[in-house]
Amino acid sequence: MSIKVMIVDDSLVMRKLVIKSLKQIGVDVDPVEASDGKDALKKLDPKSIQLIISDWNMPQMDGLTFVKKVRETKDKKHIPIIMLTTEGSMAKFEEALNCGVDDYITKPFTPDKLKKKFDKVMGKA
Amino acid sequence: MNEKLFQSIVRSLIIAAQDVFQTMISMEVKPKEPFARKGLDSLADITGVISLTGNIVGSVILSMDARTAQKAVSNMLGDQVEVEQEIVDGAGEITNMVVGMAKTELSNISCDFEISVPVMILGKGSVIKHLSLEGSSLTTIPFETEDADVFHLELYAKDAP
Repeated sequence: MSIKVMIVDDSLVMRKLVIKSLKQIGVDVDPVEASDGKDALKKLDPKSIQLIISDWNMPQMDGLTFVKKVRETKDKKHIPIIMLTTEGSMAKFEEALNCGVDDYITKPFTPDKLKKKFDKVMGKA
Repeated sequence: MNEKLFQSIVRSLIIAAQDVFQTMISMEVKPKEPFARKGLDSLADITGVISLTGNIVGSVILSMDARTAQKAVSNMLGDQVEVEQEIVDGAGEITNMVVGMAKTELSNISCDFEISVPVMILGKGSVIKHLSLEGSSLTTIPFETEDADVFHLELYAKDAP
């Protein structure tokens, strides 16, 4: 059965790469793409989306604001979120976790790294 | 800005570029001798500019010719990419990853700054409007790929006012 994953990134190529990497690690992914937090909030159907993978630095609405809004919304706050970002400092990592991100991957990333985080987060979900 | 910090930024950018190209693009790249230049013109067809704001202010610029960018983005996606929009977008993401990785490394020495989303400039020789050198110069680091293609990573940085 396929897993509906929302991929939020302002880079079209990065969204494609995440979808490709999920397929590479054996995930039958049914992707929903969004170009920033604002777009993602519009497209986020809490009944169908099973996982969100979001970038941090994006125009319009950044990933952290998006995560906060998801966590504040009753019917959306249960959705697991992995942040996939170039922001790799411990301070940023802690800030993201404090805002409700379930796990964190820094770019550049490998499919193996994504698999570890995906298995962990989806196992918990 | 003191020379030691400037060299740390240059070193972090070189390491980040090598790592990003190896991990995401499966391409070995070798840095050549950096040089200084005064120009505000882009060195190749596709240029990504990221602004730095924090303890330091400035810009990092990644310029690639169209063929190198196409090869890099195609390698990254594992598929031949032909659409210009995707090549430009991918070049922007490469710029973003290089600067982001260097930023993380530099935070370990308390050199903290925020980075902008990349601004893309098309056309060799285009003026990089987002940059003001204020009498200073750009430090340009040429990189050579395994196919002998050359791209340039450039830095302008100073202490925050």
